[in-house]
Amino acid sequence: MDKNLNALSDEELIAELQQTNNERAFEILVQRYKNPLTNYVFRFLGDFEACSDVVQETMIKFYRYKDNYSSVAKFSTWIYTIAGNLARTEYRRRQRRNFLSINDYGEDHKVFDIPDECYRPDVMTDSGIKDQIIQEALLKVKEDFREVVILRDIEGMSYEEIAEITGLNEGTVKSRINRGRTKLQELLKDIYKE
Amino acid sequence: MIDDEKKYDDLIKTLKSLQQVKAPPNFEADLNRRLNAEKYANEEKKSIKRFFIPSRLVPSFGLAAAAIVIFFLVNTNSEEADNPFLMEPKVREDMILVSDTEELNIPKSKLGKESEVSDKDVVVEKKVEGMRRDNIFEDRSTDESLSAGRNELAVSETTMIGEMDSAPTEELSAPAATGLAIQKSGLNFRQIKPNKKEQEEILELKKKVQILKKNDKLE
Repeated sequence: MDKNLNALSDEELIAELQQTNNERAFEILVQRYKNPLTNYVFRFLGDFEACSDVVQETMIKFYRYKDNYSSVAKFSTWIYTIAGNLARTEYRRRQRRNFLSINDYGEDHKVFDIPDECYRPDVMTDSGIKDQIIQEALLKVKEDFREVVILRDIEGMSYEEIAEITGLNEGTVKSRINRGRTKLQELLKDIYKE
Repeated sequence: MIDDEKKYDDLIKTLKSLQQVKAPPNFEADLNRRLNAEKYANEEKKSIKRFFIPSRLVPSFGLAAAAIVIFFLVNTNSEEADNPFLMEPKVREDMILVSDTEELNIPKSKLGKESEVSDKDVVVEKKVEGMRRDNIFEDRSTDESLSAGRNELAVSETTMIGEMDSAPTEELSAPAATGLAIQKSGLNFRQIKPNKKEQEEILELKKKVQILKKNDKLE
């Protein structure tokens, strides 16, 4: 029985979950999507703890609203849409909080900027540091562009899937991807020099 | 589109080479815990909602209304039973009563036309009045009222003698005579417990009255 469930596609598994409320089908879907979703949300938010919370919340929503899923769409796009919406909400909430906490500092109501800790190319040898630099560059890209770039270049999704997840048309998706890439290349030009 | 991909080839390779971030090892355990907590919270909410469904509230409201009606019915009945104004007066056996005007030894010839009304009726009427008043003000019997009653009695008896001395006897009427003997205001029979001294005084007064009567006869 368990082997059979593992062999099923995502859509078949959620159909099983909807029809028989089989908890095992849910567990298998969680196992399949927990890592891709964590990667996607982490690249978007840049905070592991917050990303873990968002992915858990995604899974809870998926379980709660499993009956809302219709077999017309792919399961992956449906669950990525949930995760994307939650990640965006969390990102905006964090931005608002950071803005308030920085601007409220001091008596003169001066605006303080977070110091930009520029990396030094001479010491940038470790792949971990390189990852960190790319992550920081990603976070500097506008969120609309960042989201589509992550989905396309990190998660490897098609334009069609991205359009479905974001609710945009394909032309807008492509345009946003291009603009995001341009910005990112500009930010990471020092890496390519090496 | 392909040109675009080539243009950003390096960037795409760099992004694809990024290390995959994995979910924490306790991800499933945490998820199960949160799901169970949510299920429990939902059940609680459902049970609370279920409790407040109107159809569920109907029997309890009906029961409460019935209880209120029964309470008021029982309460009203008990009030009626205890209402002192609706109760029959209790018959007092320890009363000192003058049952007949003959006890006073007043000849009927001395009484006016009103004496045709039977003396017994008058006395009985006064007795009933006195009993009613006793029942109503039963709880108000104190030592003060006792002494006040005694004084009143003494005063009434002395005035009676005075009147008898001064006024002509023909003017005496039956109600007056009986009223002098037992006045309406002095009908608190329970209070009349004369001591020896008072009894002696009463006897003296009676003697005086008898002497007066004899004198009248002789005249």
